[in-house]
Amino acid sequence: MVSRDVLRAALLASLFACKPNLDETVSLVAVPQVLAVQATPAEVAPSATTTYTALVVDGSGDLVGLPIQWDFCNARNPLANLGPVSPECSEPGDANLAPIGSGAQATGAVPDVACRNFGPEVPQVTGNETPGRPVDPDPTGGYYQPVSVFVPTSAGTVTSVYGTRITCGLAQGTSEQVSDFLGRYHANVNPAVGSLTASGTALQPDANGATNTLAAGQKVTLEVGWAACPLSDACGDGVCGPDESVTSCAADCTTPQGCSGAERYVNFDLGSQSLVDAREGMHVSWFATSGSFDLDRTGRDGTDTATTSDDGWTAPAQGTTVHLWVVLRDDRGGVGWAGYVVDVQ
Amino acid sequence: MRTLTSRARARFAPGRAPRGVLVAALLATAATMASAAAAQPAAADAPQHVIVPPKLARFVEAEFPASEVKAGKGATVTLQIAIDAGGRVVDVGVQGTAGAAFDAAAVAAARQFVFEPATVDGKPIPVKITYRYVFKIEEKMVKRTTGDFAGVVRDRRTKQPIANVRVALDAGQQALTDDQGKFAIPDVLPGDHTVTLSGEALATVGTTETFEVAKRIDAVYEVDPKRAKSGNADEEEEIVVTAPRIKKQIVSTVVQAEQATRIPGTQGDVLKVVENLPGVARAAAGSGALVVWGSAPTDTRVYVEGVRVPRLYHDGGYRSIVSSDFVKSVELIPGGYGPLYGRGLGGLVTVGLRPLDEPGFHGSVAADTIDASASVREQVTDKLHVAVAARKSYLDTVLSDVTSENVGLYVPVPRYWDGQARVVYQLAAHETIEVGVLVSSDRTTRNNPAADPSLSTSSTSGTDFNRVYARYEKHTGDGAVVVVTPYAGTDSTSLVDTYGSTVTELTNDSWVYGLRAGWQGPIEKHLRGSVGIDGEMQVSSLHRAGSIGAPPREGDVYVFGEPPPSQINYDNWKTVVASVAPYVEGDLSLADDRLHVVPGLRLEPYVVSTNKLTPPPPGSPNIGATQENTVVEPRLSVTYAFTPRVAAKAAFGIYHQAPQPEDLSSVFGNPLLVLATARHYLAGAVFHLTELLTIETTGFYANQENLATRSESDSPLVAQALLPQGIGRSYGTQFLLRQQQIGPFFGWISYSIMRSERKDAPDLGWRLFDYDQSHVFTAVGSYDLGHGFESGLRFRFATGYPRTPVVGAYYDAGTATYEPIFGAHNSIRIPPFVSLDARLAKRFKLGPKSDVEVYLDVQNVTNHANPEEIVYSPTYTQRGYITGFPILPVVGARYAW
Repeated sequence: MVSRDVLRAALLASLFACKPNLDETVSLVAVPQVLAVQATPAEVAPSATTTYTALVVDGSGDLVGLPIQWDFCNARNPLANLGPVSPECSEPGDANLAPIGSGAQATGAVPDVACRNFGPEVPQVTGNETPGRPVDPDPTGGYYQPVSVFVPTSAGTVTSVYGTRITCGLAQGTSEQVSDFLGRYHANVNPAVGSLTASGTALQPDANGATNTLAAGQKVTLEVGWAACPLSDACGDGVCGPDESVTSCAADCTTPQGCSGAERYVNFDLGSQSLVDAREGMHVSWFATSGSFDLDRTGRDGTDTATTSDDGWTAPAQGTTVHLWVVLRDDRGGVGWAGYVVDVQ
Repeated sequence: MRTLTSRARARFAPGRAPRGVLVAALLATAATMASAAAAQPAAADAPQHVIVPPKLARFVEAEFPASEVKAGKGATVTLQIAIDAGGRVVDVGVQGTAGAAFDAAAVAAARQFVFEPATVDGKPIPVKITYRYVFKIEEKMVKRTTGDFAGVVRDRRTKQPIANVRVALDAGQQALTDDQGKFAIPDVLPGDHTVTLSGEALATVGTTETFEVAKRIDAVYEVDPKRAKSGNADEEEEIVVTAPRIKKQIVSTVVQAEQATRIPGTQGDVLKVVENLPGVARAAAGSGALVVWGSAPTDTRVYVEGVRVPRLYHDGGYRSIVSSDFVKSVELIPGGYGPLYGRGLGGLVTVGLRPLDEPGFHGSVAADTIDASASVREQVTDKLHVAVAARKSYLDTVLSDVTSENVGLYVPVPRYWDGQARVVYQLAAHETIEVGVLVSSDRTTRNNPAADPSLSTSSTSGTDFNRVYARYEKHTGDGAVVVVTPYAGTDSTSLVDTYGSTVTELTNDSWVYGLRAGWQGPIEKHLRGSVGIDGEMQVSSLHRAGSIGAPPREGDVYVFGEPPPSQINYDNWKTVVASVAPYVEGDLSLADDRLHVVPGLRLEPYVVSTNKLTPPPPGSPNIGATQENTVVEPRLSVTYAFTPRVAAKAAFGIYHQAPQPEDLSSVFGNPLLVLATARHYLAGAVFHLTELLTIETTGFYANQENLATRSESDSPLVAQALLPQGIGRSYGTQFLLRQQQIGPFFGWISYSIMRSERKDAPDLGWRLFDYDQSHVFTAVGSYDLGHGFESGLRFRFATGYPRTPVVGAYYDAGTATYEPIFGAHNSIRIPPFVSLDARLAKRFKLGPKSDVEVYLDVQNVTNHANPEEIVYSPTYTQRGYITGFPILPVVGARYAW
């Protein structure tokens, strides 16, 4: 009879041999790359102006002053393409790219046909063509205008694509639901890194010109924090919640106030065909020029009310200066980040 | 036809011929009459006596002497028969001889005659009569309504004939083998008959033969006779039928259950042998998909005794869905089949169930690393048999017991069970009715949690089906058979995948109704025919939510593990797909049975209905759509036997397939998809190198059109996410060298070289089909080592599936993931699959009808790392492979009684 140990060995061997051995750590920055793109404001209606900023880095830290080429990509994504955007959006000089500008930042007006090309409105047609199928929303009910980002670097052109969340209203639902939605939905606000601690010790952002110190080989727990957004509406809390309006709470909603943490928002549930309250999840991407993270990414889903997320980081064994970035994303396409300099001794 | 008869002829005073005998002859000899008269007064005026000669009351026909048959001549024997006053024959003498054999036969018959005594004036008297017994050979034409059965029984190992084996048919006819092992049973009623071999030299074994009118089956039965035991009573008795079989299809491979269970890699599962047959692509590890001649898995239909079932294997391909104890044989027809079947663009798998006619109570219990099963069958009365089987997997439990790792991270671990029940009642000698149930259930769960919830994935799938069927079968005296099989059941599939917050749901709950009714039999001497009706209806309720791109379709360009598109939608819809196809087929036998021309025709009206033509605006009622389309499907096959050992064959057929209910969504598919069409062309040859060694080659070409493919438009119309614009073509050649059981060995080598391509839209070029495999080579062999030991080897080589290479990547700054940039569609392949599998079994005989078999089935003996799928690093700068099972031993045991 085959012993239990033999059986265990055979089974384990058969299972674990299935894993491919691809050694790649995306949190380790060594070559020029785009870590994040931010639109400010984070969500706009067609024709509205927004400003784009990219976090471009390499092994030496932030790369600033690069002549980044910014384009709106107006190519609709065929259903046969399972990627997030049309392949043409990643091809510099493509005819479907509409330049926004060049430089570290670019400001432009979102195309006025954005909700027809990438939203719930009937697509543009020419001549006697039959109007086609609108674009489906993402799980948060959002639609996105693709923005192509071409970064010339010493290693060649680094291509990124970013989707600007566009306010297009609600495609489905009854007229009452559409009216209700328009009244209760508030545009997204970019999240912001509130704090970063290393095993309880606050780290100072690079933006302040500060340098932090850790010992070589030291293992620390990095914990990023963000704003605690209200879990229910309270007029005067500085956040215009889903059930607040200019009428009911002028203080918060005259100039709509968002929250730089996990916001609540109203969404249309396709299954129940009703409006539902939802809350953003928060997602953290960790990057460093040296050392190693336990995980490349961490986060909280929308049902988790915690306002922090942590990751283990081991400082390099040799003394060096390490650039460290924390990128925070919410479910509705909002982005925020912070950079830190750590002097490893 | 020549018949041998013996007849009596009269010479004198014929009376009424007894029992239809032509003439009864009586001649009262003068002596007899004188003696009778002497007892009376001799006077001239004596009164006239009334003499009544004896009458033959019971005639016994003499046996035509066997020694005289060859001479082909008749004879006449003149007998003198002495009859006493009671009418009894007291003496028989030969007056005119015709030879000793004829004389003896005539005397023997005459001794058994019984007469009404002769009388004189009403008083019985003894007499002697002269009787001419005529033996005659008559030539007369008789329309035969039966077939003949002859053959030889010999030792499977030594090939020596075995004498005194009783060969018996279920109809009661039987014969003993002679010293040459030969037997002959004439006049067998047409139809399927159970043949039983028994005798002191072997345990009782049985098989089934199909008899036809005016045809003779020459069978060779090779059995394992009982041998002297040396304290290790583990010899098995087995019958191997090598009788010529009627080829039903131009290209098909039939494997009997007895052989299939001995193939390495099947772990005793009969139906898993299909994976080793020519024309079948190797399924990816853990998929169980059946890809035949380059057609999609959904294009090959599976029938169990005429009942369509949605799958042949459980999830993962570890097991089939029918107990091996119930299976008699499995037949794979990769294409070019006749009009009895349709609705599929690809191949056909038919599973024949074992007849339930054994006396007594039997069953089996089996278990191995993967699952456990049991079956019982019982003869309740002379005419009623019942059988029940069930199986349940526990691989998930085994894994959780031996490892604390979350195995679901790496491989899907299926959980399944199935069951079958049969009740067979024999209405008459050749008429049965069966009621059966088939049920099957699969569940698979994978969870891969991540610290970032947007990277967490999970997958839960379920597949269930059940069937209730009745089967009426009658074999008529003229060689015809009538089979009627109505069935009903449900098919349910469910899939819930999550990738971060993107949820994909797809469920399908269907009712399935079917009816197959057919007559098959002789029409005239050179023509057999088939006529019947094949109907099926599927009523489905479906739900789908999530991305239109998930789950992926054949032809989608993506990489394994890639997140689905984040755009989501939702739909609930209902469909009805129904068709009723009358069919007719004839088998015209020409050129002294060397040429068979088999034309067929299937006329199939389809109805495809959906309840949503377009997604209705909120609050608006659904507007449905119904399509009706009648298709004509001609089928033709021709075979010609140049010699008894060499035959050529060719076939053509048109096939249609209704759109899948899942594709008829107005949101995710197209409610107006049309029937897909395929045309099969094939030609080949069969060479019987020896009585048991055959090589068969078949070239094929199949084209397909109206395949549902994704719209390539960047602005597709509403309710046209799929379009019936795809076309396909498959072509290649398959070879099969098959050695039937000879001595302790059987095996085969199959090789297929083929190419399957698709064109997804008119303005796109041809690409390789996702399941294309250029070369598939399989060699299988099983060797009986004696003393209950048995060993087997299987070697497989298969070209890897095509995949689309990633030639670059860009960064999606919104989701912090890299997205692949693809090269030419399906322009690279996964490296080839190579595996050597082995099986070693030992059978212990516990009693006359019970034994235990213990086996070790080792897959991938050489521990070759077989790539199964291509995966990439997160930035797509590195490429690697998910490898399949390394060396994988499976230990199992089976007790049967």
